[in-house]
Amino acid sequence: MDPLTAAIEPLIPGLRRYARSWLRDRAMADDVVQDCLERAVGRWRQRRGAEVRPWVYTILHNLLVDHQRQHSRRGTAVPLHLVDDATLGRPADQDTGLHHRDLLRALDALPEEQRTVLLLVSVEGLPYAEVAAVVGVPLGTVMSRIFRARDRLATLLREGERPRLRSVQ
Amino acid sequence: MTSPIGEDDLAAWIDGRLSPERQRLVDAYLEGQPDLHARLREQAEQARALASLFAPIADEPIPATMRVAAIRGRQRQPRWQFAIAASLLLAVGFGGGWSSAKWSGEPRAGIAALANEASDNFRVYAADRIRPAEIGPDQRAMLIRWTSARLGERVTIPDLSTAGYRYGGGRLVATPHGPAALLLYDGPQASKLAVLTRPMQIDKTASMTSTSSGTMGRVTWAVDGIGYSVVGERPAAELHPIADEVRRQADAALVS
Repeated sequence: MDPLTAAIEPLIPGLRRYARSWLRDRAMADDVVQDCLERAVGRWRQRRGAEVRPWVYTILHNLLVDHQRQHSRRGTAVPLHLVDDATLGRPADQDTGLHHRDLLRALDALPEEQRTVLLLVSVEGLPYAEVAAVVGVPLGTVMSRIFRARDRLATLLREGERPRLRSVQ
Repeated sequence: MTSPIGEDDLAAWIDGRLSPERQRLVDAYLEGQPDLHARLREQAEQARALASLFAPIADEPIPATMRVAAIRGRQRQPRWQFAIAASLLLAVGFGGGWSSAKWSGEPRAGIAALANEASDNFRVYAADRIRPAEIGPDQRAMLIRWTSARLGERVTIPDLSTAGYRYGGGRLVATPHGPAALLLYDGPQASKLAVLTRPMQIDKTASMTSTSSGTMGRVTWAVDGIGYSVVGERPAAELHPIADEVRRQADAALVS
């Protein structure tokens, strides 16, 4: 395997996951990943020694931000009721008893900057320093955003439980 | 002396990313803060649930189009073809007393057909006062995504503002040779201009050719298997500089 293939292909599953955590729609998310990969391959020589993973995630992240800006005004984001298990994979988390829908709704209710660091840290498992590079903010800002993101997510999940319980009665 | 516990320590505690030494300190600290400890444990569970929610996506087989070899093949091949075509053009030029008039006077089937498709679509859509474009000028990315997916080629929307034309939206149109992207522009005195682009089977590379159809001028060419036709209610000679600009931007997009 040549160096470019060896460096980029192992990242593809994670890149697809990150894109889909933003866009939810498989085809749309894969289109953005394809765009990202074409740019990464085309600009490989302009990378100039930068770490590959944060470099590629940065390209993807910027494309996702652009995509979101262009589509959010028209409300083309997929409504939650269309997000089925086939789109996302698995049924609700068995250990925590958290319902997928509640988790997604809480995630969507986070401010974009908090949601971004939460996904990059907790789902993509990127080191904090790489997250700082991808988002383009200092490390301290990443740490404070991740801390606030988790607090907010926990609050939203608590609030989300009440109406669901009431509807059962 | 050790530095005090911070939010960054607590975040790293949840992620299990503390150094062993720092981990011991934070653990000891949390022993004395049962409420905070419970809160962090809950948040750690939520983080794990979030990870497991999205985890299966990474187990899906990746599309073949995403392979680096496939991407490199697409990015390289067209330029090879272009180089070969260019060298053939040069050979013909030296052999046959090449002149631009002679070359462009008799277009071959491929781009001649494209020019006719461009004027047909221009006639229908540029004259439409209700909905000339399906996707408006504020939705460039969506049009690019849509038409690129259907054409199997990356569509670019040229910026023709220096020539006095403002992009007014576009749409996917049907031609006898499959789908094409129609880009519409508004110019001075309510004049209209359109660019039609689609993949080429014949005439994968063809030099710029000026033709007319009624009062419409057309400048048509093909590069690397993608054909372009610029059409408007102006003599083709006046459209030529605009076509040059479209070509320059399309070529730049191909290389970038």
